[in-house]
Amino acid sequence: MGRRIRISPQTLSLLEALLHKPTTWHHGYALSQQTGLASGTLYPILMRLEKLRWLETNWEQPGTAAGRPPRHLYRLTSEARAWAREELSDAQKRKFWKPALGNA
Amino acid sequence: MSTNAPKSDQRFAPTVARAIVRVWPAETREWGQAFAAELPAAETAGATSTWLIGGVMLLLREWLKHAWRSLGRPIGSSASESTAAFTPRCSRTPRTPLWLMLALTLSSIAILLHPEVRQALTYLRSAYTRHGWTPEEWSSYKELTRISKTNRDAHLLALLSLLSSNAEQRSQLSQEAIQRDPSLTWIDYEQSRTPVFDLRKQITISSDRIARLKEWDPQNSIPHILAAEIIADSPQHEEWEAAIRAKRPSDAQKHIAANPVWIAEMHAAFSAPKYDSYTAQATELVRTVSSQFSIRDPRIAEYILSWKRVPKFLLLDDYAKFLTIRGSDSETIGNTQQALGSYLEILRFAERVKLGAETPDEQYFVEHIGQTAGEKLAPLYASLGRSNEAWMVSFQVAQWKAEHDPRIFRYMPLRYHRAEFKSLVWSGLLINLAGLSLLLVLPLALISILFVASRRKTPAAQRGFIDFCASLFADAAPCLLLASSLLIFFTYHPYAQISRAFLDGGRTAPSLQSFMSAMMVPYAIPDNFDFLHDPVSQWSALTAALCLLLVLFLSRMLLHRSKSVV
Repeated sequence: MGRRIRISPQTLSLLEALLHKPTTWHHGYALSQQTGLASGTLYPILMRLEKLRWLETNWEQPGTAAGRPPRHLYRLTSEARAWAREELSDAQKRKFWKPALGNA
Repeated sequence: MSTNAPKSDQRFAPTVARAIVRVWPAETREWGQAFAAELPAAETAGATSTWLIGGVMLLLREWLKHAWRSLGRPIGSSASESTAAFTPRCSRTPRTPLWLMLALTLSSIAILLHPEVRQALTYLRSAYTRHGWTPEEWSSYKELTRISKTNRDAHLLALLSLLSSNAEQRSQLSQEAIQRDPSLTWIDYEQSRTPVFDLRKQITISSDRIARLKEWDPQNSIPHILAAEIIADSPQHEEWEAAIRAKRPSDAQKHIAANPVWIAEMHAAFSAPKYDSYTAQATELVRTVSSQFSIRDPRIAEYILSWKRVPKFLLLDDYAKFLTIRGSDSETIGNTQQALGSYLEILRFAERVKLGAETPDEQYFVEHIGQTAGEKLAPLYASLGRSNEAWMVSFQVAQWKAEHDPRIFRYMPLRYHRAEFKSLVWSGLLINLAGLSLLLVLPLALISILFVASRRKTPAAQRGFIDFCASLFADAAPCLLLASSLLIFFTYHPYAQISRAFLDGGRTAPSLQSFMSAMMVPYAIPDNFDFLHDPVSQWSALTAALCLLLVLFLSRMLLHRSKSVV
């Protein structure tokens, strides 16, 4: 699965949120609300996942919502989903992390 | 969800978000836009503020990463630009990563600030600008003068009297120094100094001071030589001027040699038990004041010892000739005792000077008169059957002849063998070339780096020949700067060590000759490179370079114009 990164509890929380609806595109603010991560914590994790090509990104179509700019969308790649499930399971077994949303 | 958020919040948050996106580093600006696009989703003012604070933290983080990454890129290139290839229009960007450029430049600055390198550069500046040739221009002299206003230390006053160019000040300072410390009476001899290159100047020292010097040092030749010089001074100048007016050779020597008072003083000088021109005392004075007041400027020692008062050799030569003639005349009439006495007087004086004198020019002079006397004395001894004495005199003469090679006499008051002199002047040339390259490299480096940095947003296809040259020089400049700094340091370091050791004194202190040679190095260059120090050559080179640049620009302008017309 390419280069491994440091799996912090915050990263695991984000992976859980992304796996909640794995094929759906997620907004940044929504992810922040789900995981409880501030923007200053959330976006570095997203940038790291994107650099490792575990995260797909996309922009909303312009004009989707009037009066505001297009938003950036995120979801895990198909290869990354299996890895993410594995990591979440390992972390739970090690009691390193507790799920907030339930198993993905 | 607050639908009645204050208007100021509604304006403020997007303004801040836009500002954050504007200053976001270009390579990750998309993420800044992503962050800003989420802002309308924040439901409360508190949520908006929290989101914005997070954005500011993100921005700082991205900027730190951008700054760190830019150290690994050459100056003038952006993250998206390829630095590896030449473009079709030769608009290469520099190759050197910024961190390396900074490291090289800072290293060069550190070396240039080293005291030894600063010393070498100061001397180089003197060699080219004639600035700093007199003590009054030195910060060390000014500092010592300032100290002397409140501290009337005898040694300090004595040293200042040797450095000052004002005759009245010299006299006052030396008198006060001697009054405070009579062991400094020898500086009376230094006060009788006249400019070397102005023969019209006469020796001005009062008879009281000469008498004081004689009383203080009765066994020394020097006070008698000084008295004889005073006696001969006026008649000599009058005769020279008369000879110039009458356009005839001067026979000043004949007039002087007829003066019995002068002969008596010279006889006392040649017969005195010791010869001491106070070079050692002058050296110790410099060392004492340097260590006492922690002002260690080798130029002070160099100045005092370069201009060290020594006897007027012409006058000593006149007396030696007088004795030689008297000896020859005595031989002719069969008065061998008087002949022996005349020749021995010269020879013994020469031996005492060889033992007591420290400056090479004193040594050089007495080798000459000693040889002349010895060549008369040896056959006379032989004719009297005193073969051992004849042999010893011949041996002495042969030894002095071997040392008295005019070819090894360069840059008075020093003397060198050819190999030694070559080594000095080539070291001097290296230092001069390194200094000149610094002078050229520093402004060109600054200009090229500023130029490249200012053109960093210009598309590669629009960069031309000047961009190419500027980027080439921006790459080369830090290396050239470091190389020049290191060259100056390593070339001058051994000589700086000699200067320092000389000022420190002690048993391992280098000789006067070594010290003066070390001080000479930044000014010395091989004869073929004399043009470097010649102002006319400097101006010619500068004019030629400017003309070349002008021709280059004009030709490019004309070419450009002819292309536009076509």
